[in-house]
Amino acid sequence: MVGVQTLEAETPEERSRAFDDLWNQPTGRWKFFQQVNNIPIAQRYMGTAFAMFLVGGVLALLIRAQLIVPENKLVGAEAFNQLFTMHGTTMMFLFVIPFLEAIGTYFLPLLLGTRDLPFPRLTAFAYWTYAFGVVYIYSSFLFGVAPDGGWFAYPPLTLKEYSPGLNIDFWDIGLSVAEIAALGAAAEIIVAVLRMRVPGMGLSRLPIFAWSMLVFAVMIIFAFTPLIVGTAFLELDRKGVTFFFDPEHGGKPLLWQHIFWVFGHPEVYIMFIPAAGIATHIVQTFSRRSIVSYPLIVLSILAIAFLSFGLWVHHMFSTGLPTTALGFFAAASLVIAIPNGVQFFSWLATIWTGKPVWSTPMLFTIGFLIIFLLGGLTGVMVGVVPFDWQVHDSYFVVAHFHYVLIGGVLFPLFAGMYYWLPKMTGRMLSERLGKIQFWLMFVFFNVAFFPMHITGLHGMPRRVYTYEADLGWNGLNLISSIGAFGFALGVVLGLVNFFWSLRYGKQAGPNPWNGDSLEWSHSSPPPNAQFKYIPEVRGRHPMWDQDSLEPTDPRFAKLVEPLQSAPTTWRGALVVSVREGAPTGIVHVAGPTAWPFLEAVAFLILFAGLLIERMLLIIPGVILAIVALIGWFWPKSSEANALAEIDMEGSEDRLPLFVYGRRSNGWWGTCVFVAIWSTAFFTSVASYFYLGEGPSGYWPPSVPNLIFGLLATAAALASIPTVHMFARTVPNGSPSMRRTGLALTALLHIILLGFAVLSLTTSDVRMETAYGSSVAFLIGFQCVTAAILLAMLAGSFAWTWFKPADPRGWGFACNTSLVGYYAAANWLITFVVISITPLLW
Amino acid sequence: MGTHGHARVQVHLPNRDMFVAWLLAPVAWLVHLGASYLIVTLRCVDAWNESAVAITLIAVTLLLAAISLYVGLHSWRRMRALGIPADPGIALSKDFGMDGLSMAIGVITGGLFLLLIVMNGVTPFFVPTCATGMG
Repeated sequence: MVGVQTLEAETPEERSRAFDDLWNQPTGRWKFFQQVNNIPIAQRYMGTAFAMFLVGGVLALLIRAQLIVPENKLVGAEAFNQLFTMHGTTMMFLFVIPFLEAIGTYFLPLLLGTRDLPFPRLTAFAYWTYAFGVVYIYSSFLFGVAPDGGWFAYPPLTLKEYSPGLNIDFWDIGLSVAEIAALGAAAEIIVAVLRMRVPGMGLSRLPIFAWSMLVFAVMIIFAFTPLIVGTAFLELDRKGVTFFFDPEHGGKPLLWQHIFWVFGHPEVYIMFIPAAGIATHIVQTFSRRSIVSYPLIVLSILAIAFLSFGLWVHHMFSTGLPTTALGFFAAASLVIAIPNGVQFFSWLATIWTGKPVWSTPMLFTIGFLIIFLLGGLTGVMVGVVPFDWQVHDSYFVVAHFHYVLIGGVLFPLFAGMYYWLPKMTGRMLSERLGKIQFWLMFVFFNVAFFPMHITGLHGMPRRVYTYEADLGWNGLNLISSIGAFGFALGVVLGLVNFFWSLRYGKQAGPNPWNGDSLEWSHSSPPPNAQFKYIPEVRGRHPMWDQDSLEPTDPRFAKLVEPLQSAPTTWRGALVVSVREGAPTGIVHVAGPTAWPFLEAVAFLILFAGLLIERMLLIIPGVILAIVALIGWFWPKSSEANALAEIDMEGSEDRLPLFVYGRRSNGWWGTCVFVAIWSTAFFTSVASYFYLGEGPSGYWPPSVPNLIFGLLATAAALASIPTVHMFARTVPNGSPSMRRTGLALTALLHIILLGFAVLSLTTSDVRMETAYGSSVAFLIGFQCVTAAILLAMLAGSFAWTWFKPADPRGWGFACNTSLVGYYAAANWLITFVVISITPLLW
Repeated sequence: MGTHGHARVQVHLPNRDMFVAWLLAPVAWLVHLGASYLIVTLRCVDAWNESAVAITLIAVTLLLAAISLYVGLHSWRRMRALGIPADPGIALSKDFGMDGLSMAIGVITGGLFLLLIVMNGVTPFFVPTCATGMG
């Protein structure tokens, strides 16, 4: 039983207070940097992201002010380049994705009925890394070198030869920092949705927003990772180390476009899917009925996610690809309208058959439906290849994607703010101001962007800082600029409403909208100690369908009883089975610490050093990163409390504590890491083949030294049984055998690395070619993989040495074994790719 | 799980059925897209016989379309075996648990991705296989 000794000594009130105190920590002077709970971190995340929205909006207004009349001199060409680059970068990378992750961080635990996300320290790290990424990118303005290569940064324009300043470096490296934050948050979301839910919430009862966040997070992993690899290629090219995009050395600028749009097109849906999830909740709540066809909505989310990864070439229709290939991607571009249409009709049918209440969130949702429909229709138009050729890089495309992104993302986000802010602040926003805001934004949005379709059809290209007076674009640009300022007025009114409501808004109460999902079961605002008493759900709409949330299923009730208002000396949360949502165990959730903050500081220092190429910054950055990582994973006393209170076996009426192996969150987190890492590897391999293909390809005059490659392969193969050796000693095997397995694995991977590097350095592969670059990158990738593995092996070894019987060490060993198997497989594939395939071609 | 008076689903389907229903059809399409794109770009630059490219594309299309069709039919059979009515109005609106949801999704993904694979696959009949875009 949980804390039997403690509980018997406490009254229920004392226990409840102790539980609250535990989840309200930290309380000291440095609490701002130590906070890891989902709610305070999410609030900061939202605040920072919304501030970036305002900054990005100001940049947009400057763009429209410059274009309001022909031959305007408000800003010059260089400043205009910086404005549109930073506007796009800010909105795409620094506002929408972080804001959605913030909403997920705040609301997912509430919707799922769990107490926090699985890795709270990662939550804090993701926020700080993102915040420092923002500081990093925007500090470029202070130095007068703001990024100016467009949010897509196409080479060769962005190569050193044509962009010699640090502008692109700020973009490249700063973006990587922000992307790391996004990946961290994605890992959290995946594990949370799959494992940490309320009893009874099987996947078939998952709230639609949770479905959409799950898909969003998976998409981030498969879309953002290639971009990180691409930005690494670009930065290495800019530093003169590699030549991936330099045609003079066999590189291909088009490789960047492929990598960028493999990220860039899913990115649109990464933003849209959670926004649509919010819209679904609002339609449901304000139509006073369940969504029409839950399965079709889930299917649509999944189908859109899949299809979005097969559309990237529709951004490249004008690059001279074979027409058949264009046909494939045009087909996919058109078919994605089907799942979108299914969702659309489901929303309409829900409203049609419900009893709609036209509150502000619903109005914004209706605005979303109308604007997104128009954006979708022009999307079908640009999916038709010949039409795309005509309007490519014109203002028609600017109009199209603003209809999609503002209609499909911003309007649902505002709807969501009006819907969920009362839950967050405890105060209702003014309906009257909200409705005025909606109409201002809706009308002026169309005033701003509808004329751009015509401007584009009249031939105005994107990204020009001015235009001549006799081209017939003057009136249309004037109208667009007026619309932009009117739209901004609507946003300002929303801010006024927010601050007004904090002081004068009506008390919201727990469920002001009569919502159906679990977040409405909590007080407004919710406490840090969420779900002190574990509820149970028995359908898709617990707040509508159930008289009480208390567990009635005797199996569940008995199992979760020890978690009611407990534990009180460590943070514990329930784990359920993936499919059916039956309680299966308890996990320890990490408490407050400043290490994630310091880790993010280390990243900032390290990346600043990489920017200006100063070892004086790089070395302290690396050292601090290692120290912070050790501090992060240092054994916690609260974990020891958990192990002392709950056994790991469990029984029919007692839940076990999940500490190691497949049942622990750490194992799932490591699986996500391996998925990210293998996506990066796959991108590198695909780039290798892409660079070699075609008449301008370099197909190698020489390959890496085969003998050394074979020796490295032998080491990789030999490491598989040694990984198996230490993995199978968990939990009850001999510690000395575990140590031997760990040491041998480390030794074999060091040998592997030595031979891998020798296979390159002793060959005739020329580093100043794109081929040499891609081979060196793959071997470098193996080196980084091995470095991570060696660090994990060292950690496991330390556990086995000092505390061989501690289950936390077993967990570390299990997770290390996953990376160990991966590292071996990584080399085997690398060897086949760089040494065998050239012989077969 | 079988609320609203419909058959309660007690037996859980194996993971294999889940994989088929949720992932197989989209994966078949992604493989079709990737394979078609590779065949066209690689073989066209090597001046492979154009009709050979078209025949290969059609063969790949038939194979992957068959897989997608299998997903739809297999999920349909499982869905009916679970006691879920053939009426879409019921099958797609009531809560039949994770198994029911999965099989309904399998039926529709099978159809959707079959359509897409066929749409991709007929492209070689309408455009010169190896011509380059924008002339």
